[in-house]
Amino acid sequence: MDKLQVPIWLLEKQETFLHNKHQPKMKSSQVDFDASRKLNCPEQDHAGVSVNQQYGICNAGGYKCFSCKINRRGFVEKTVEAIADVMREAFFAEQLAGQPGLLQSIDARIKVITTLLLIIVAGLTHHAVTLITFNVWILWLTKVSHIPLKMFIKRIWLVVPLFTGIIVLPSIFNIVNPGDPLLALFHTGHSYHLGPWTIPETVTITYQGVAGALVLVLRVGASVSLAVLLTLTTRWHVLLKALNMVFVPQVFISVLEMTYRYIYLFLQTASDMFVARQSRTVGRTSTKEQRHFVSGAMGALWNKAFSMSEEVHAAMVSRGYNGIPRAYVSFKASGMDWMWMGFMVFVSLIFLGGDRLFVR
Amino acid sequence: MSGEILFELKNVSFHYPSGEEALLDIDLNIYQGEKVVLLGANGCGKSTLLKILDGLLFSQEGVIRAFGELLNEKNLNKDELNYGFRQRVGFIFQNSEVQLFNSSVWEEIAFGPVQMALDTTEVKQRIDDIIALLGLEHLKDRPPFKLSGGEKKKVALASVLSINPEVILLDEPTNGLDPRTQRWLINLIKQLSRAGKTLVTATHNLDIVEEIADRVVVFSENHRLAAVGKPAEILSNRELLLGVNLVDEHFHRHAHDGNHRHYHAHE
Repeated sequence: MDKLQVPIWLLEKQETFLHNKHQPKMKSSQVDFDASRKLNCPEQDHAGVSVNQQYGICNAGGYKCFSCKINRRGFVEKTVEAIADVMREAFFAEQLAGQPGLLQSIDARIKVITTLLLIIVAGLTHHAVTLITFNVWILWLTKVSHIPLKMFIKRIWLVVPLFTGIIVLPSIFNIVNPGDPLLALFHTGHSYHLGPWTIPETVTITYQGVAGALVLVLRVGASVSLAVLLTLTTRWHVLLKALNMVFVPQVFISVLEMTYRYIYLFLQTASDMFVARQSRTVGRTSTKEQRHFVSGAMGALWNKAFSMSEEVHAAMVSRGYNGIPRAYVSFKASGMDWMWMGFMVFVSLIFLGGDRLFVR
Repeated sequence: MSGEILFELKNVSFHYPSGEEALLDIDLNIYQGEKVVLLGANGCGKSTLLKILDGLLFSQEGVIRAFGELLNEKNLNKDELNYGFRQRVGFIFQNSEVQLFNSSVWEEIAFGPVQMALDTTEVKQRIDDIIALLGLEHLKDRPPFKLSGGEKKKVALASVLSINPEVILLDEPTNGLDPRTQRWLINLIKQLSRAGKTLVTATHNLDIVEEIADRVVVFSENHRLAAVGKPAEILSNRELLLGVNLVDEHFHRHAHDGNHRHYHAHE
């Protein structure tokens, strides 16, 4: 075999790292040094941290410290962190579903059915007080299932009011829904007619509007809480199997399963691509260069996904798949599960009955 | 060679839709109960041949018979033949990632038997047995994407063994495994062979060839069969290995006390 012809530049030794005089110029602002050669780091307090006098290498160490040297993180770093966050979240969710707790110990099928039942109860409830009590009761369920309450409340009650609130916002004004005034906003002097709408003399927020909006937000909040609680306390693959029991077609479930299975692989691949690029990048790159890289990475990932899908299909065919997915489902509902079912029906009746009393 | 012929390949050629040649004029028989190693440099067509043997790719030229039946697309589309063939042949892919497409290890092992519509009590029994055999008890509820490379390979093996195939095709099984897991795998292959399974392994890891082969089939870089013979004959034929670009001129082997030999290259 021929000897490799190694180019001469590949054999040249680099100067010692710290004495390298040919450091590439960074475009971003670097760490400032004042006359006393102390590190002025705008983002972090490095009091007491030793600083290399000559070159200003901060020994606080770690990535954060590097991030304060190049003080704005680029797109690539943010993407890598976002991907890591998704993975962490999934890991955390799986841990929650696996830990001992009230809802975790209930058979998944029973949980799916009772969740549907409770969502119907939320839909049938008319009164805000009943719905508030219902939501507090859901928080109790969360607590006894050892789901961190703070995280749960943040996940539901930061998002639901925002999105549902926007939808119901117009209905609280008497322009859309006439009613008893709660708060007068401004007085126009005359009422105007704009097509089907009438703008009254005094534009007000109405009692009926606010009550209606509140009920809707609380209903959506309760329904989303129940759905999130179900997913947080049930392992994903068990949940999918349970959905099969409530007449969700097997093909649909198989597609969901595979999506969930491979999304992490592709997240990992994307993360690897970004990290590999980061490790070969010195200084900062322009937005144009980053865009160029991202479009290239998307293409590469697409190709990878495509060739992989063929291989996965081959692997399935090899093990007997002939276009009709089958699943082995074995659930055993114990006495405890049936008791839970009974308890849920009882709770539903209590809430619906209580709601009727309020309406009267 | 004694034993019934399980696979019979006559003048088999395969090229990809792009026109790229993968196999040319292959004549080969695989006999029941033997251990065959397909040896060759990267890109010589070993993996393609395994996929053809598993009825995942179909050659454009030549004839392949498996268990006495013609192995072609038309025949494999027949439910009965497909069922019988899939039950008899298992394939361990080089990339375990593509083979582990279920959401938990337990379901992964169950997939084959369930697709083959086995009785649920038998499915459960098989899974429990395989989990005990390969020591996967602690992994059974885990999603496959969170496993290490060695664990993935074990689960991939379990998922194929649960079908109880007569023939097991292994594509580069030791790639990316640590020495301990490699040793475990080789021992398992030997055990399976003793249990009467037919094993066809594609590899370029010369160190393991003697242990996992009764017969070695060497491929040349021009996608043809270069030689077929006993492992000792093939591995001592330095000219042959050089010719198919599997080793360089520094390749030699060391014999240690007992029967152990190993192959390597250094200047």
